[in-house]
Amino acid sequence: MEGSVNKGDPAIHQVAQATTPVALTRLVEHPMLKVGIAVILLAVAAIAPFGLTGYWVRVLTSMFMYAALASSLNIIMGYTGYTDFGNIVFFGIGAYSTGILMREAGLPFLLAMPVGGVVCALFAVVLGLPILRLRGYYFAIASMGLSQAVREVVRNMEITGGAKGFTVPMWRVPPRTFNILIYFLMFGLTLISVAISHWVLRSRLGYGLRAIKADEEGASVMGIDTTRHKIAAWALSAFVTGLIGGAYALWFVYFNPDDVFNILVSVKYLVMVYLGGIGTVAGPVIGAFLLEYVSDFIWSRFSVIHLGVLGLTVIFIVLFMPRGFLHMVKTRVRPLLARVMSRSRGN
Amino acid sequence: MTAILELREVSKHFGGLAAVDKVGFGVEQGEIMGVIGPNGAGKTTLLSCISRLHPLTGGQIFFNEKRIDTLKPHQIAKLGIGRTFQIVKPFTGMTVKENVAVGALYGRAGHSGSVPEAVAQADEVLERVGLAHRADYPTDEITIPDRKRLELARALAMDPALLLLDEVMAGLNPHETDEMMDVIREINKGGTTIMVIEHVMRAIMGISHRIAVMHHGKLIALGPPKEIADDDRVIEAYLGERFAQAKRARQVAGQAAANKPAAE
Repeated sequence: MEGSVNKGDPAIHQVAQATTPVALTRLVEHPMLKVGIAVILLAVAAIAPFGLTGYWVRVLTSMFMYAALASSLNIIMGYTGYTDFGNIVFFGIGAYSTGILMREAGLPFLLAMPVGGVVCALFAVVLGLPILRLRGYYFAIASMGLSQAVREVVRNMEITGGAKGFTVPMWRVPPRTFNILIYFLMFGLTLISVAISHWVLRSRLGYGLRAIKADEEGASVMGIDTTRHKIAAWALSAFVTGLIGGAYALWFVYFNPDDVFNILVSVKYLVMVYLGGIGTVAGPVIGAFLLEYVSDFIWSRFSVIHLGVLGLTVIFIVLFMPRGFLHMVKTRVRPLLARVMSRSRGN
Repeated sequence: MTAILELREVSKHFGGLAAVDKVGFGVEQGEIMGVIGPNGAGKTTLLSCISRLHPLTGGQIFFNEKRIDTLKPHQIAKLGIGRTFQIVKPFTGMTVKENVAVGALYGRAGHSGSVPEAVAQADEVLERVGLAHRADYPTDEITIPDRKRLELARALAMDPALLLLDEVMAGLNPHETDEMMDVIREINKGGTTIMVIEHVMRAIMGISHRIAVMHHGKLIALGPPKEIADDDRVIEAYLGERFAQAKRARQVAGQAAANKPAAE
């Protein structure tokens, strides 16, 4: 619908172009531009692993994993306004569920992973009832506590292998093929995560969630069942995070509770959401790639201060782009670009 | 005519304070019921009791003969009660149109479920309240009077059978107040029952069929605007006992009662 409206008026833009930067900004904002960029990026991502070294395939796989995680976290945090420090709990449960289903029940991975996701969603529904009553900082703290409590439980269970860790049946394929398959698995999960994120934002559910984020009381008198909406958002986020946890289990083959319930990982993709642009569809993905690139760059040179980068990034975001990278591009870079372009055309 | 809303001995206490104290009256189907009273009289608290943002301390509330004080806020909204807030609560981060679309998407049960339909309805409602030119603005970039209109538009998009308005005219200039009065009358003509809290005397006297007066949490008078303006208890509540005595002596305080609160 938007496309057809805009298709008609490039002519109007062209007339106004020379005099007003606003018109040019609007051209830059043309919906087809976004689609074009997305198509090019997808094509590049689809052929990239075949031309890259094993190291870079792994880095990109990790970037996609974080992009998918950040994007799923964004549903509860960005849309609904519930800061979830303990989202990693679903990653861990997803990893263990998938692993157990594969090793103990003999399920193939492609079946075990979605079941793991469903387990996470159910977990979110049951725990959401008490925990999602809490607002603001209280929910953030409770979610953090929850993830650490579950880690302790897993550490003391027999079926999970306790603190010794868990080994998933390995895929008997050559390492290079394995890496490329995992790459496409994470790439696919990112697409799923972003597609869900995109759909939610434009759906009735999305309107309800954004209303809840702005004013929960106001939302309830408009007829929004706030409890059910919050639980739906958390369960959706948990489902996708669980899938990614399952993929991680397959990728790493061996993991222990400290790996998959690591709160620092949770904080890392939370920072990515803020970095890219909270509450937007593309923001978390951009944030994941930015931070993972910087973090990889620093790690390969100064491994000791690598964690400090996370802290510095947070400070940088708060100081210079509190509303994220996407918002900064929209409000600062774009008008600047338009001004420069219109000036050069005018002469 | 039957009562669409009935309050029976409704009480709301905050600790030792009886913010609403055994208030009972009915709102007739199709009327505009005004609620006035000095600051702190319990008007907004009463509204919040109806939309169930406050659980009642005592009493019962019926809507279309169905008891609603045991329901949750969103269930009450689904039955067809919409409200606005005195301290506006726009959904920040959404445009004006999106705000109103929320009302159309949720609101009364059996209402539109699809987003494009709701957005179309939002456009219609924005036109009605004179906010169409701000449809695509973020809510933090519109003026206070426009935010008041947004409050009304959002509640209106819910297609309510009963609309509770909490000071939608506060802060509007006389011309804007007239416009808002017309809008409210139009909504009422469309069949919506309205209960309206207002401090602007000229407005509330002008649009209400009946007026309820509250003071210290109690209902002290109820009747047509003319009667209310002459009621000694009302004048006493607003201006103090001395004025009431003076009025009895001179019969001019009625005028003062109408003027003084209007200056607030």
